[in-house]
Parts: sequence; C-alpha cells; structure tokens
Amino acid sequence: MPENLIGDKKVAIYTGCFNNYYYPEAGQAAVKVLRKNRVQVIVPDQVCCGLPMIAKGNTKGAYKNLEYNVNMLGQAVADGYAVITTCSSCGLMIKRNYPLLLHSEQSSLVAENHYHITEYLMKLNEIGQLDTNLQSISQTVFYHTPCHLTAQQTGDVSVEMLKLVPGITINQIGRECCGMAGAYGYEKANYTLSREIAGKLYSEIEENPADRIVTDCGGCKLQIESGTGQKAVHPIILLKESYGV
Amino acid sequence: MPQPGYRTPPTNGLKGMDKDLPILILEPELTEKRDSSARKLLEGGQKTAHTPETVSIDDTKRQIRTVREYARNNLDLFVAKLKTNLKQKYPHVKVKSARDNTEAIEYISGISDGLNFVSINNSGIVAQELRPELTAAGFTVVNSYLNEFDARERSILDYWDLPRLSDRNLVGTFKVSIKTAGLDPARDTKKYLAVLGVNAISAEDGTVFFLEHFSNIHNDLRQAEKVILAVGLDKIVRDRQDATFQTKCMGIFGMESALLGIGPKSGETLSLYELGLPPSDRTRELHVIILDNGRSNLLQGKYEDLFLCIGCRACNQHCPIQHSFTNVDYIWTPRNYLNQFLYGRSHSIDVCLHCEACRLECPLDIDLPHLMWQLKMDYVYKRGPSFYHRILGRPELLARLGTPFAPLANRLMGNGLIRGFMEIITGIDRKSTLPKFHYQTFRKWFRQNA
Repeated sequence: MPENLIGDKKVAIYTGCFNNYYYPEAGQAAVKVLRKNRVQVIVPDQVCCGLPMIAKGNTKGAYKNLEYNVNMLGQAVADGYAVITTCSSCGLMIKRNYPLLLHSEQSSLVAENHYHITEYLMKLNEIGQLDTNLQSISQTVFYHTPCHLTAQQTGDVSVEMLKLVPGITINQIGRECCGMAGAYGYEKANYTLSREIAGKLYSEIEENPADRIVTDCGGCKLQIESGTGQKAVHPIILLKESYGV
Repeated sequence: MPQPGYRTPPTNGLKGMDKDLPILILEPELTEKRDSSARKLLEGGQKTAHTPETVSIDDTKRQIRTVREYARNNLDLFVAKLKTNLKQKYPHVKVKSARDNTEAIEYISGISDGLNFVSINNSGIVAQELRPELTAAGFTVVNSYLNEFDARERSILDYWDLPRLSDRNLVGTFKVSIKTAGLDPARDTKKYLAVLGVNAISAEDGTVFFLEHFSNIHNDLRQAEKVILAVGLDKIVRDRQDATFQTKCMGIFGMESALLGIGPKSGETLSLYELGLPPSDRTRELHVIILDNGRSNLLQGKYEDLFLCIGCRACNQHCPIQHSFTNVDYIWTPRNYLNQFLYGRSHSIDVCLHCEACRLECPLDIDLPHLMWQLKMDYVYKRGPSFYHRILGRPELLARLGTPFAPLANRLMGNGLIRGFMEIITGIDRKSTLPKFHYQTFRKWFRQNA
C-alpha cells in the first residue's frame, strides 16, 4: 500500500504547530515543490500532534488530539493520500508514537503511510517521478540532523535530497542533540542545561562555516539561530529555491 | 562434550572445599588492532592473512532478545533450579534469597564477622542498589573498579567521539577471552568482604559469569576473606551458553560506556590495596545472594521490558544530558534515571529530552522514551501536572492567542518587563528566544492558494 500511495502522487500535509504558526514558509515551500512535481496536495483539518502536550503532562488533551488527527489523517489515507510532515517531531509522533499510544488499526495505517517531506521526495526520485530539472545553487551547507528525524530511522533523507541540488556542497552533517526539545529549552529549569548541550553544536557550526545552515526541526532552528546569530532554514526551502518556484 | 569457548574450571579454589562453584571472568579482547593489521596484510597481497567476518548487529540483537525473553518467561523455574543446583552441587556455598536491600544488608551484616571493609565492583546491583545501605550499616565501601585506572586525563572526552551503534564494526569488540576460570588458591587472603554483582548465572549448573575490563574482580576473588556474589533475578538465565552470550553482549554493547567512564580519579577514591589490610587466617567463605529488590514486580505490568535489560549502559552512550548527572548518588544512565523514579527514589522524570538516542542504542530495543512517557502519564494521572506545565501543555492555545495580534504580540515578547512577568507565570526563561507569530499561518495561506 505505501508504495502505491507514493506512485499515486496524492499527499495530505500535516503541518504541526510550529510550521503552521511560526514558520509557514516551510509548509508553503513544501506545497510549491510538491505541485511542481504534479503531486495533488490537501491539508486536512488538524490539531497539535500531542507531543508537547504529553511532555508537559496534558495527557487527556493529548489523547483527544491524537484521536482527532488519526481520524482525519486516517480518512485521507483511506482516500489514497500519503501523510506528509515537514516537522520531524510531529513526524516521529505520527510514525512511531500514535500506534504505541492508541493501539488502533487506524493509527497503524496512518503511521505506515507517513513520510517526512524529504523522505517522500526521495521515494518519488527512486521511481523516477521527481522533477530533477533543478537550477544550481552555489552554496555550502551545514546540515544539522534533528534527533527526531534520526529516530524515524529512515536514513539521511534530507541530506540525500540536498545532494540532488546542483552546486550545493555539504560541509558538515551535524548529528547530535541541540538541547532544545520543544519547550524544554525555554523552561527556566532547563535553560542552562539546554544551552550547555547546544554548546557542542555551536562549536561545530563555528568550525565548519557554511553559507546556509539547514535543519528540518523548528526547535533546532530556534536553538541554532539564538546561539549563532545565523539563520537556519528547512531543507525544502533550498529545493524550492532550486526549482525557482 | 565441553562447549566451545570454555576451559574446564580448575579444581583449586576456596580452602577446604571439595568442588568449586565455577566462576568465569570474560574479558573483552582488543581484536580491533589485530583485525585492521590483518586487513592491511590482505590488501597488500598476502592472502594468508585471516580477516574475521563482520558480525551482524541485527543478528546479535535478535539473539540476545531471545535469551532475555526466555529468561524472563521462565523466571520462577530458573530461580528454583538455580537454588536446587547450588544446594546439591556446591553445599559449601551459602545461598540467601533476599526480597529487598534491607534483607540483603541484614544478611551481609550477619555474616560479616567483624569485617568492616567491603570491596564492590561497578555493577548496578552493588554500586547503585546495595552501596548506600552498606554504608548506612557502617561498612567502609570501596568501589575497586574505580581504582583500576589511573588516567591523568579523560581520553574519550565526549560521546561525540564514539561511534553510534549503527556505525560500529562489531568485529572489533565481539571477541572475548576467558581470563580466569574458578578461583585462585587462597594464598594471600585479606580481611575484607567482597560484594560482587554478577553479569549472568546459569540456572542449569550454577556457573557464574563476570565481565571484567581491568582486574578488580579477579583480585577480589583471590584476596577477599568472604566473597558475596550478588545475583539480581534478571541475571539468571537458562544455561552456560545463554550466560556466556549475555556476558559477551555486556562487553560488546557496553564497551563505549566503559571508555566514557575512564578518567582521573576523584580525590575521595579509597584503595583497599593501599590500606594494607591484615592477612586472614580464617577459612574463606562464598555466599550467593539472590536479590529481587523490585525486579519481580516489573513482570506484573507495563514496565516488564525493563527486566530484559542486561545493564550494558549503552543507553547512556549518546544521551545528551549524561554530563549533567555525574554527581548523582547512582550511576547515571537513562535506564537508571527511570528506575529511580519508578521506585520512588527520585521525584523528577522531566529532565529527559526525549531525543530517543537511548532507544536507538539499546541492544534489546527497550523503548525507554516510551516508558518515560508512560511513567510521566501515570504520575500526572495521580498527582496532576505542575503549575507551569498546565500552561505549557497547551501549546496550540498559546499560538492561537498570539497569531491574530502577531505584530503586537511579537513586540511584547521582546519587552524585558513582560518576559519577566511571563517567566513567573509560565516558567519560560526570560533569556530564551521565542519564535515569532505570523499573522498569516500556513493553513490560512493554503486556503487562499488552494
């Protein structure tokens, strides 16, 4: 079924809170890239994925959200749409935790048909359905891998996607935790520890200067930007730029 | 027929005993250097060089999971078998079943016979569970493992310097050799107790297995007047083969954790060997304490996977917060952190970042992040969330409140006074950089561009 859904070129985007309220550019870029590849895009009605709610003890609220999302996304999957996320944490929640927490057939169905945006694009590429008519971007990139993308165990999908863009040189692939973990790094109780963890990443960025810092996670983006003063962008933004859409 | 990888245990051992309880020490072999030399020779055209085949991580993980699940599912049978075997085959070994730490310490105090110094190894069962109560009972406890290395500086500075499980070449660490088999003759016994947590014990014949990186266990088995083997229920496995494999896995998957722990000694480290303890002229004794201490309770509920843990501490290897917990009175690992909370010895379960590195590193695929959440949910169900978390647990509500007034809300978020007030109400640190609200959200944009 998943392979068929890839070939069908129909996707339902789950944006998550960060990319909806604070970083809409990532979702917009995803839509433009997908449309450029003649993929039909819908955005089903949705609420917060529940991850920050469980992390902060709002179990009741989280379960309500989980059920709501699984119902909406389950409907989309049943209609032949693959579920796409641009946020690696929402993605991990859908792919791994929804079935673990809900134990329902529908949550497993949604999980099995979920793809991180770059994972989906690379799968399109595998079947020769990705438009590779890309303009060159002569830039160096520092790519930071979010923990929650690593935890999805789908490989270096975003790095692979970036490699498709002519002219891009990946200077360094960062793999360690940035210490932000959603609202964890904001909290007074964790702020110092969070920045301490990020210290290594900051040094790594300093030691490997690049034109662009790229990461898939909103939390990592904020932590990088506040510690280095440099802007961090979602990898899909670079692909959008390369398509010139 | 002897199983591969074993030497027949020697007959010498504790004074006056007819037959020794076989105690085998496995030691990780430094094969990596040898293997790379072999590869170089091979590449240089010398075809006779032997290059070992790479061991598959997935196969090893599957095998150890099978061993552990079998042990878990047959626990009662194996405990009974072990007790019977020890009693019948090794009558000189005194066996005690202890329900909890208190019973174990009472037993140790009862047999201590005036001995005041206790040497322990670095296993969780003694270094973490028994140590505090041994100290409280008046013993001077020395973790002899920590005296074994005298590094001037930490050579592995950070977990960043170590490979992740998926990046590792298992050939380098899979081979182990048996350093000793049985106990050495008691020529220079000293007046102290050794309490040693075992890595595995075979229910079928009572063979005890230790993994040793240095020589502390070997020394204690040779020198201590009384040797007490602490056997957690989770260390009892079917037979020698399973016990060997479990101990090997400790070596394979725990190698990096051992390396991470090697650094300069703290000033407080006391060495039993430097104390010049007087020689003992009494008959040596061997005791086995089979300790439950909450382990059997794990089998009753949602946390039963924790029983599968082999204690290799691989979960610690890529844990981003490990450095911040060097001063806790237990050996920091994500698993131990969870345990502390589970058994009511700690009140916090909130320092975990949920990065999931522990799950990815665990050779048993124990889902620690999920279990942490489970614990958190159980705790909140009973006690309710903290005041701050009541607010932060509604992230979308906060976002929805700010979005319609995005320019104003963003300006206010930059105001120090407002942030100070916000810090008091929400617990959000005033120094943290908050994301900017956007008047046009993605979903609004999509509706307009559908």
